[in-house]
Amino acid sequence: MPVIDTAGLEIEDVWRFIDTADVAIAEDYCVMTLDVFEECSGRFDSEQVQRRGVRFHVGETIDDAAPYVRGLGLIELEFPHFKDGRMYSMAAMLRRKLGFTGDLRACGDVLPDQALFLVRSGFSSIVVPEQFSPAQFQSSLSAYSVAYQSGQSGDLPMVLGLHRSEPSGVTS
Amino acid sequence: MYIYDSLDKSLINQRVSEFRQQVERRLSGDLTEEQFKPLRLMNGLYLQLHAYMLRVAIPYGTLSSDQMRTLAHVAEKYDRGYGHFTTRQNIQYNWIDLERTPDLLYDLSGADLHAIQTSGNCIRNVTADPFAGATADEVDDPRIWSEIIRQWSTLHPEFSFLPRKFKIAVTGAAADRAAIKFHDIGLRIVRGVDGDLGFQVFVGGGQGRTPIVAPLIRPFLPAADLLRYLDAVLRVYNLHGRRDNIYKARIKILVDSLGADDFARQAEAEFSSLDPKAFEVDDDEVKRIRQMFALPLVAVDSVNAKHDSDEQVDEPHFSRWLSTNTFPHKVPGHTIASISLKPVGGIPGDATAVQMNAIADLADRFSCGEVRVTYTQNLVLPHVRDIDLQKLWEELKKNDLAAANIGLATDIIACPGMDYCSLANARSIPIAQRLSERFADLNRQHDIGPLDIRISGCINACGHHHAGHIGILGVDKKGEERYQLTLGGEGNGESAIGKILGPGFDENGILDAVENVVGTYLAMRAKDETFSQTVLRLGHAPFKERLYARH
Repeated sequence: MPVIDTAGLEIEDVWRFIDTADVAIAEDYCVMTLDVFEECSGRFDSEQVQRRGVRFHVGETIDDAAPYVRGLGLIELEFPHFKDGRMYSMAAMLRRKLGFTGDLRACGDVLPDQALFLVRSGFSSIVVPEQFSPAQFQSSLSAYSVAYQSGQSGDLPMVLGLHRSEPSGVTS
Repeated sequence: MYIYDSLDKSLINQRVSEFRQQVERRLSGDLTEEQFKPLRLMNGLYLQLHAYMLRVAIPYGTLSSDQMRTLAHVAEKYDRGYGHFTTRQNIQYNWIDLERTPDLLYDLSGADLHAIQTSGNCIRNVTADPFAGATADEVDDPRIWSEIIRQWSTLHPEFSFLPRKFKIAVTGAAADRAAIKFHDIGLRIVRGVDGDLGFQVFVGGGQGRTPIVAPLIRPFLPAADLLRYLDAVLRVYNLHGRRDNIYKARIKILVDSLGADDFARQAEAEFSSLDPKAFEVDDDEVKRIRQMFALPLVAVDSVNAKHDSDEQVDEPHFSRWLSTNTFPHKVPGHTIASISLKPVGGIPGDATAVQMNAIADLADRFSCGEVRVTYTQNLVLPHVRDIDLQKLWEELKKNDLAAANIGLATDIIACPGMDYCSLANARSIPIAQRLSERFADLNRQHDIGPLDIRISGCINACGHHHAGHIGILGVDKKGEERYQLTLGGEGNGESAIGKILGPGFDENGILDAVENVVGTYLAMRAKDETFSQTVLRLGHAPFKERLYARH
């Protein structure tokens, strides 16, 4: 499935999802669930950890994540259903509370019409589900040129008070 | 009132375009109904029994006369010539075609009206005291803060897919004309010990299947921290609200299960972790918004005004209307005037396009171009000069809008019920109409005094029956419409939830039951005691006894 950036453009996806700790240790650019990462996280130096990723599911909290996100190259947040909005908060907290600056990727059940919500909550990339196309997400991203709650320009983490201006978007 | 600038207008216009494109994708099959549903709901478009229903937002219940004319225009062009004002200060149109909705929204946008977030699992229309800005008893105009919350909550990226709907109400006075404790978040503007502006924050109220009066979660929240605290509460809810069962998904369930203290702690912890600067609303911005709500009036010499109006008060019907439908205004020589949408035998809250246009003209003539909507499904002209009251009343009479029944037995709140709503178990409108006819005699209504009757066609309680002095709940008993009677609710000020009195009744039975309960009150009341005071004093037993006594 294609992966797009915050402008809706397709990007190269170098990441592979794996499910055992020994593969995680051996292979660069692999993404795994939290329990697998917990097993092997101690084995990575600060350079290696940039080439590792963790995929979180609903139910795993920001406190669960906190000890492990530092320096990660990729965090994926899986949406179990497009109506389930918990990962928007998880994204916001990863950016703002934990200061995560790596690629924050939305995967699972998301609709093109949610693209702006995703980007403005802090996601820097989106996995396009099979039944949709990158163009549909891109079109949705350009639906609004204004917002009531926008990041202060150039700033990470996103601020989400009342800030009547053009949105700055999220940079990764 | 708040005037849209280019940013506000751009947002609405872009929303209209976005929705037009979403409807096209739905009609072409690119979007399934399941995928389209949350998108259309976020634009207030429901699929009901007969047609689509569109719920248009009336932010904090405030309309300009031009906006009222646009609502009339929509009723004529896209519906069957009428609209229904709701218990959340919005308006609903019941006969909408999906294909025409983008054009309808476009027409609304010309008057800075929209249907954004009037449905769906997101933050809904912020409601407020309909007397805001006109009433003497307010600490500050709640619409200023409602507008700030409206903007903050509109297309909020993090909080658009909540476990369930989220409703916020604001009062600026000690008096609660917005039922704040029956909301997910209720805010009352108060002054702190140093005289600074702030809020009492109530969280976790609601009606429906599990009626709860919201506990006070934050006794004093400085005004500068408003959005930061709301952000914290919404985050706790978004993360921890139940998503396994739609009947257990409101924040009231979360607050109740954690307990108010634990919930308050979690909210406070989240609040403390957030950067205050990130959520501060610019002083200039607050000033800008505040200025727009500034009073458009000059004081009229009250002595002269009184003298003038004395001459006119020889018409008994007019003075009766004055006694029920008018309320004190903060500026001398002025009055807040209520327009009853509860004519005898009428459908509560409904207004025809003709009436809406008439009201718009009256607003221009007599109320600085402003109209308000109440959660009790009536309208208000907030700024009427005393000397104009009789002329206003005469014009209202011509348009069947002068029922002198505010707060009385025929000022009934009713949901649309099974005549329109796919969720309903029973029809509520005919019950309201028949009750209204039974109690039509104004002398009798005045003798009874304040009596708040509320009817819901199902347990979702959109008619707020839990908070009625007398509540009527439609249920389905083996395929038949039955009605339960509740007693002792309170929706104005002291919030209370009514209790079921006993077994239910059929359609005729419930009408007799209401008469019976009123009869008990009349027989047993102390001097000058209102219905709800008598119920409080005596409890339910005497009412139950007389209602279910064997004949």
